[in-house]
Amino acid sequence: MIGLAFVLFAAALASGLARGFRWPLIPLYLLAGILLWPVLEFGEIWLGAVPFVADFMEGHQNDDFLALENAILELGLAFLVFAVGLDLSPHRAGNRKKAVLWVGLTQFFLLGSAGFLGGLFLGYPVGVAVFLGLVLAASSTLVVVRHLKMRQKMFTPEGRLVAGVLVLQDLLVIIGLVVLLRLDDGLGAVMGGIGAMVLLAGCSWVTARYVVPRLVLKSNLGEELLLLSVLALLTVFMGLTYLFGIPVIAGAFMAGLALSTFPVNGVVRGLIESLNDFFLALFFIVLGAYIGWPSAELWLTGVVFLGLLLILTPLVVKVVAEWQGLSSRSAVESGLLLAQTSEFSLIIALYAAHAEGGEIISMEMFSLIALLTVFSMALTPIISSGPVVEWLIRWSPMTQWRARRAERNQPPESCRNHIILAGLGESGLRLVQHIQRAGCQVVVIEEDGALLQQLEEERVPFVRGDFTSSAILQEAGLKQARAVVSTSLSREENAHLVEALAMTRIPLVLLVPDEAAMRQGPRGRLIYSLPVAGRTAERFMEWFDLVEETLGKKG
Amino acid sequence: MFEDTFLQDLGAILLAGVLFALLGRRLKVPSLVMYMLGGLVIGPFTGLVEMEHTLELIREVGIILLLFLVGLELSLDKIRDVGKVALFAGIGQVVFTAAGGLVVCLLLNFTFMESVFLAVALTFSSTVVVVKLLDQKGELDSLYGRIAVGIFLVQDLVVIVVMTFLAGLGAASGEEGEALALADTVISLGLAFLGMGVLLAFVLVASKYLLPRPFGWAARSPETLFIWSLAWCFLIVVMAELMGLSSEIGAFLAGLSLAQLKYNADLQRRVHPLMNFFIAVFFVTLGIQMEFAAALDNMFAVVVLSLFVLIGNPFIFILIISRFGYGEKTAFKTSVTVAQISEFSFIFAAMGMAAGLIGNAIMSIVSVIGLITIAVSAYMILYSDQLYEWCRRMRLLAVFKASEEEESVPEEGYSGHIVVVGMNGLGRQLVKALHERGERVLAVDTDPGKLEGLPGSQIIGSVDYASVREAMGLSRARLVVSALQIEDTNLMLSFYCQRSGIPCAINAFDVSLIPDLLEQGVDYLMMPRVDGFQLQEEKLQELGVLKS
Repeated sequence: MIGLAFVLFAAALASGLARGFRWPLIPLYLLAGILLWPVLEFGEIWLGAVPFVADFMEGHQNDDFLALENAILELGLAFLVFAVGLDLSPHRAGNRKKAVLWVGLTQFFLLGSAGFLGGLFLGYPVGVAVFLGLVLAASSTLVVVRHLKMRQKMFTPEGRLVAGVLVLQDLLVIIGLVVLLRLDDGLGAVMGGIGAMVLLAGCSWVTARYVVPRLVLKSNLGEELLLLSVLALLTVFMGLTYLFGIPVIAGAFMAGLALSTFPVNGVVRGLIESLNDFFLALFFIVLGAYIGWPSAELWLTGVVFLGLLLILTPLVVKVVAEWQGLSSRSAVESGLLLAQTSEFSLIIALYAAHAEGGEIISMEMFSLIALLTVFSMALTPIISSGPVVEWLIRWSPMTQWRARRAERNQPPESCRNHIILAGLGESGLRLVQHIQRAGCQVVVIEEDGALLQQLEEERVPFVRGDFTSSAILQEAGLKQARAVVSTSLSREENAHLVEALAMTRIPLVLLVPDEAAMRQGPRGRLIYSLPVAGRTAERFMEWFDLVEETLGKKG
Repeated sequence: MFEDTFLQDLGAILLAGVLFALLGRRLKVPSLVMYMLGGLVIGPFTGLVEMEHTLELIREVGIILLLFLVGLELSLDKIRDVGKVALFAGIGQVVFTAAGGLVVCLLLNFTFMESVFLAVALTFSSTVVVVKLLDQKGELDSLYGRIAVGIFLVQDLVVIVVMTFLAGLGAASGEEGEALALADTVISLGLAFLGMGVLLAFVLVASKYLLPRPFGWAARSPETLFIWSLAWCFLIVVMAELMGLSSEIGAFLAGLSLAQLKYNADLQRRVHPLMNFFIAVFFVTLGIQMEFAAALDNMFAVVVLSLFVLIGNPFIFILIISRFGYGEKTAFKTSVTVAQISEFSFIFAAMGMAAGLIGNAIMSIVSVIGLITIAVSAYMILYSDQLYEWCRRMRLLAVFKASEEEESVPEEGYSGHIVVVGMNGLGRQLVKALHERGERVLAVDTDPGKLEGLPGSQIIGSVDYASVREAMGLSRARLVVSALQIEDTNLMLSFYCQRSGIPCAINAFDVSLIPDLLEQGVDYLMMPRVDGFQLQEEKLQELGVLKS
C-alpha cells in the first residue's frame, strides 16, 4: 500500500496547491507525478540511514506499485473519458450553436493543420506529424469548464461558446484517434473503424433509449447497486470495443454518452463523482511519473508548438467568434480560454507511444507533449485573466477599427438628456421598455450581434461597441447623459465604468450580487451599487406568504 | 502499459456482481451474499477469472476503505444513549460466544489453535450486512436499530484488539515455522499493543490539535477534503505497517481521527461510493477464492457451527439485553441482527492463514459458514416481526422473562421543514428571512465556511449525492429552495422535488434556464436579473431621472 500512499500524498499536495492558489488541478497533478520519483529516490537515500525504515522500503518498493500503476492508468483512463461522454450535452452551447460549430471546427482543423505542418517542417515523418496535429487540435474540457464554473462564467456568451466548442472537439478527438490508429492499415481499416464507431454509437443510442431510463430512473435499485450497474454498463461498452477492434476509450466515451440525457446524467454524476475524483487524481499522478525530461533537440518542437497554441488559438477564435457576432471582449476571452492542449492530448500521446504495431511516437515525444499540456494548462488562468484580456482588447486592430467606426443606428445629435444602458444582456430589453415608457430616451451600448438585431427591430437607439471603452461612452453621448445604468454583474467591467465616470457628475447605477459585494465594490458619491440578493429574497418571501396556506403550515 | 487482462477481469467481476445482485434483489438476498455467489460462478465453478495480484490490491484497498468508514462512523455521540447496553451486550456476547464457540469447536475435534480462530471468527457480526438491511427496512433509527449499531461499534473495537493480538501472534510465528515460543508471543503482543497505543495516541492528538485547522481550510473545497482524507488514511495505514500493525488498524484509526471533525458526515458520504465499488469487488473476489473442498469434508462441523451462530448468538443476546429492562420485542429484534458472522471473520481467518497459524480448511469452513449465516440471517432480519410473533406463539421466549411492553416510537429525521440549498448571499438571506418567520430551516452547502453563523440546522454536502438528499429529508420537506448558481444541480433538484411531489423554488439566475426549469414543474422561479432591473428602475425614479 505504500505506493498508493505516496501517490495519494502527492495528489493531496497538488490538490492543496490548487485550492490555495486557484490553479488548475491537472497540471499540478502531473507536476506532482513528475516530481514524485526523484523525491522518493532522494528520500530513500535519506531514509536509508534509519535501519527499520530501510528494511521496510526494500520490502515495499517494488511490491505492488507496478501492478497498481497499470490498474490506475487503465481505470483512470476509462473514468476520464466516461465522465467526458457523460457531460456531453449540446445544451451547454445555449443559443450559440452556430457560433460553436464555426469556432469549434475552425479551431480544430486550423490548429490541427498547423500542428501537422509544424511537425513536417520540423522534420517528423507524416505518421508522427498527424498525431502532433491531433494533439494540438483540441482544448481541455476539464481545465476550462472548471475555470468557467469557478469564475461563474458558464452563462456568459464566452462561457456558452467555449463549453460548446469543447463538447464538439472532444467528439472529434475520439473519432480522430480511432481513424489515426488505423491509418497505417489503409482506407478499408479506417472505414472499418468509423463503421465500428457508428455501430457503437447505435448501441449507445439503443441503451440510452430503452435500457437506461428503466435502469436508472424506474428500477429504484439503491445507491450501491445503481453505481455498480452503471460501472457494469461501462464495462460492457469497453468489452464491445475489444470485439470491434477499436480503442477502449471509444467504448468508455459511448457508455458515457448513453447516460448523458437529463435527468439520468445528473443521477449518474452524483453516483460516480467521488470515484471519478479518486481515479483521476491517481491517473494524472501516475501519468506524471512517466514523464521524463526531453532532450535539447526536442525543445525547439516544444517552443514552436507552445507558440502555435498561445498565438494561433486566440487569434483564430477571436476572428471567427467576432464574425459570428460575439463581442470583442467575449471573443478575446474565448480565444484565451481555449489556448491549451487537452487531457485528450495526453491520451492520444499515450496511445501513439503504445500503439499495437509498435510505437508511433517515442516516450521522449510523449514527455514533450505532456509537458506542453502541463505548461499550456497552467498558463490558462494567467493568460485569460482580466489584465491580459484588457490589453488584447486595447491593442486588437479589429476592436480599434470597430471603436473608430462606432456603428450606431441613430444620429448622435438625438442623444441628449438620455440614459445610457451599458450592455443589454439577455433580459435588458425589459428595462429599456420601462425607461422608454416613463418618457425617457435610452441609448444602449452593446456589442453582441444577436442583441443588436433585437434593438434594431425594436427601434431602440444603440452604439455598437464595448462600454468599458471611454471612446464608446463618449460616442453614446456621455456628456449629455442624465445617468448611466450598467446591466453587468462583472466587477471588472463595472470598475471600468466607475473610472470613466470618475470626473463627471453623472449618476452611475450598478448591480452587485449581494451586500458583501457592495462593501467591496466601487462606491462613490454618485455611484449606486444595488445588491440584488436582498430584492430577490424579498420577492421570494412575498410569494411564500401567499402560498403558505397551500403549503399546509396552517393545516 | 495497456494489458487488457486486468480490465477484463474487473469487468467480469463487476458484471457477475451486478447480475447476481439484481437476482438477489428479487429473492431479497443481501447483495453481499450474491456478490460472493457471483464470485463462485466466475471463479471456482467456471474458472473465468483467477485471482491476480492487482485484484488482491483492490481487495486490500476495499478493506482499508471499509475500516476507514467504520472509523468515520464511530462518533461517541452516536452510541451514548445506548452506550451502556451496547458495551455490556457487545463485550458479553464476545466473551460468551467465543467461549461457547471454543467448546463446540474442541468437541468437534479441531486443534486448539483452529478452535481459537473459529471461535473468534464466529464471534463477530457484520456491521455492513445489518446496517444495510435495517436501512432497507427503514428501521435504522428505531430503538433496536440503534442498540444494534451500538453493539456493532463495540464489536468493532474488540476487532481492533483481536487484530492487534493477531498481529503479535503473527510476528511471533514468523520464525521459520517453529512452534510458538511464549516469550516471543508476549513480546510481539507487547510490541503490537505498544504500536497500537502510540498510533492511537498520535491519531487522537492529531484529531484534536493537528487536523482541525488544515482540514477546515481544505473543507472549503470538497474535492480537496476528499483527497486529503484519503491521503491521511493511507498515511496512517503506512505508519501502522511500519509499526508492525495491520493496515486495517491504521485505516480504522485514521477514520476515527477524522470522525471528530464537524464535516465527517459529508466525508462519509463521499467515501461511501468509493468503498461500495471496492468492497463489491472484495466480496466477489472472496467468492472467486472460495474453496469448498475442505468445507465439504467438514460438512457436519459447518452445519453445527452455523446453527450455533444462527441460534446460539441471538440466544446469548436476548439473555443480556432483557436484563437491561428492554422489552421482549426489542430484545428479540436486536438479537436477531447478530445471527451471522462478519466480513471481519473472513479477514481474520485470512490473516491467520497468512500468518501460518491455520490451514486452508479453516478458511474454507469460515467462508461457508459466512455464506450460510449471512443468507439466513438476512431473512431473519427482514422478517423479524413475523419471526417474533411466531416465537411468541410457540412460547419460545417465555424462558427469558422479558417484559412485553412495546418499544418506543422511533425518532423521525427532518420533517415539515424548509430546505435551502446554496449559501451564497441570496441563500443566506433566505435562511435568515425564513427563520425569522418561525420556519424550521435546513441550510445545505458544500462549504462549511458558508454555513457559519446561520440560524436553524445545517448539513455540509452536495445535493448531487443521494445520501445527502436522504439526510436532509427531501421527501418529507415542506418546501425546497435552491439559491445555487449551478445549472445542472438546480435542474436535478427540481427533478427530484417533482418526483417526490415537494414544492420547490429555484434560482433562475440566467433567463436561458427558465424554459427547462418550468418544464421540471418548478413552483417559483427566483429571477435576480429581473429583480435587479427593477431595483435600477426604482433607483432612477428616486434620483428623479425617471418619472414614477
